[in-house]
Amino acid sequence: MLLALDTTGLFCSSAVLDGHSLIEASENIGRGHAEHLMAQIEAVLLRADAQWPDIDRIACCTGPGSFTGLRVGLATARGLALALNCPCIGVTVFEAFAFAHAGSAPLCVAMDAKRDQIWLQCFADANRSLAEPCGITSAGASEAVPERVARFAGSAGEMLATKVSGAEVIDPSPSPPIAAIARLGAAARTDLAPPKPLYLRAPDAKVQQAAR
Amino acid sequence: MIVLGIETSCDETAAAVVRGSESVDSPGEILSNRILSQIADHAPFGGVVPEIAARAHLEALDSIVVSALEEADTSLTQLDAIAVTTGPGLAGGLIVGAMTARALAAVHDKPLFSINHLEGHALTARLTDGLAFPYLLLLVSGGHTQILLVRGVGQYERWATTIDDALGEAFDKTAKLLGLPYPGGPQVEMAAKNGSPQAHAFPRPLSGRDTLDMSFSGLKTAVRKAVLEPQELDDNIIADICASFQQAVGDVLADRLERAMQRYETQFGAERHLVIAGGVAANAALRHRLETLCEDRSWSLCAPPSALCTDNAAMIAWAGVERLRAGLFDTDEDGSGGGQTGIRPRWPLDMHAKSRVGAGRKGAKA
Ligand SMILES: Nc1ncnc2c1ncn2[C@@H]1O[C@H](COP(=O)(O)OP(=O)(O)O)[C@@H](O)[C@H]1O
Repeated sequence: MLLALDTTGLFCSSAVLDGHSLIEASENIGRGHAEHLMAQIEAVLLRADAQWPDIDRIACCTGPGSFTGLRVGLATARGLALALNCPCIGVTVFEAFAFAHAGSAPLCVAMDAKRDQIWLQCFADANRSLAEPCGITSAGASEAVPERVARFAGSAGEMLATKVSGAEVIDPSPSPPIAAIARLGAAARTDLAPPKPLYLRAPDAKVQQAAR
Repeated sequence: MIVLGIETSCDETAAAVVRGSESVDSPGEILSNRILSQIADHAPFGGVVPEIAARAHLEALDSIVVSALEEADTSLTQLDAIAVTTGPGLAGGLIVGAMTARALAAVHDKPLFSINHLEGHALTARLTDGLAFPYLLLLVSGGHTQILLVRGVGQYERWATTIDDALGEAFDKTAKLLGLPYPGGPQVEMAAKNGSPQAHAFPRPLSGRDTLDMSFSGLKTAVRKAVLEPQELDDNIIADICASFQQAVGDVLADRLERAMQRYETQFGAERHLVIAGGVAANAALRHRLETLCEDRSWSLCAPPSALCTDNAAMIAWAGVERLRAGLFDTDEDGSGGGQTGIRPRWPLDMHAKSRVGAGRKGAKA
């Protein structure tokens, strides 16, 4: 059984995937993921009629998103994987949206990064990205979208779509679908290093000038 | 009983396993004590950058826990409890520690203790020496400068605090003004060895005043003036400033402590123990000063080894042992928040003490 977590955005979500059956909880809590997450996981386990030892794989959304949110999820996921001695898989927000909206036409996943910025990644289809994830200013964002991309998803999807003629917004959710995180986690290789957050933004800090 | 401790409140990622016996005043045994310092990560910025610290904690904590368990030759199943620092400190790091600890405790169904970082410092002398209550504690670190009366587990009275900078902060700022690398405390101590403590008449803020509180920002200003005077700083000038600064600090500490000791003596009489903790307690010159003070007043001085004076997880695990054997479990009511994350970036050890303006980098919050 796989346990999936996402605390990167407004939602706090968890799911248990057992073969094809998925039990999930997804709540738009805005903030306070740290207080909410463990209780939600335990409730989902109960509904799935699962005990901790039944879980043999963890999947966790790695962002981008709120820095604190990313760390709440990943610290929990990595702690659980350590406690259960099982693999832990990271799934990005972009991969989750792309998987959920797999189709023949290219897709742009765009997330509102606040401070007048957008995080985005474009996909040819569910399995093939067109470029690495990046963070860019809202003004310059539409230029980062290749011409043939006309489907948009994510919290900044609508905003971006207004700048592209003929664009269609297929999923404006502020958080990625937890089912997609679970299914991608189940399909992933397990021999990778523990997942790291996808911050896409350096910490605010200035290198000190010479003293005096 | 065996307890795993986790500490991520500032710039050290740490995990440790400590064994305690059931009997109340016997010392503990440190089975492992792993620390990963982030000093190098923060050095270019001249101080701890919270977001950099939080990122580094997440990156390292799970493997630090594994290595602490391995070194102690134990496993999560064998633990009696898990203890984690939930404040005071930087929220980003505290969250990483708290979530990790909660995950471990949930899966293995272990009691989880949310520990106040300062309580860890306050109880270290019992881990190392089995010191009986009560005793007086001087806590002097980069974030805190306090004199505390330690009456028992969970029973702390804050007698004094800094009203502005923490003492370690004063050392660090002095070093910065002199162009010495971060963290400055050890650098200042080293430079002071070759200087004259009488070269500069730096102020002794609040000395002789009828208060136990301390103040170090005036001292910093005086150092700045002394730095700006000469055309150019050379090693001799730096040494003199450091020696004079350290002398002033020693005088202030001795003056305050002497008053605190008098107060303690009228309350408790014979059992006179002073414990020092925190990074600044590693300073040999200051230690020597306090030794003399204690000798003169027939007090015993307990100074845990440096590695246990600065931030570490053994002291957090030990606080867990103390709470476990005292039956002081986390409750939601007292705000230590067993069921919640309960991270508390501001968390005074003495809940009854009034907070002071300023009060150091973490002091006002603590
Ligand atoms: N030998 C020393 N003399 C004076 N100060 C020191 C010495 N060694 C370390 N320090 C100071 O101790 C502080 C670090 O102590 P620590 O207990 O880790 O504190 P915190 O985690 O609260 O910053 C720093 O401010 C450092 O400059």
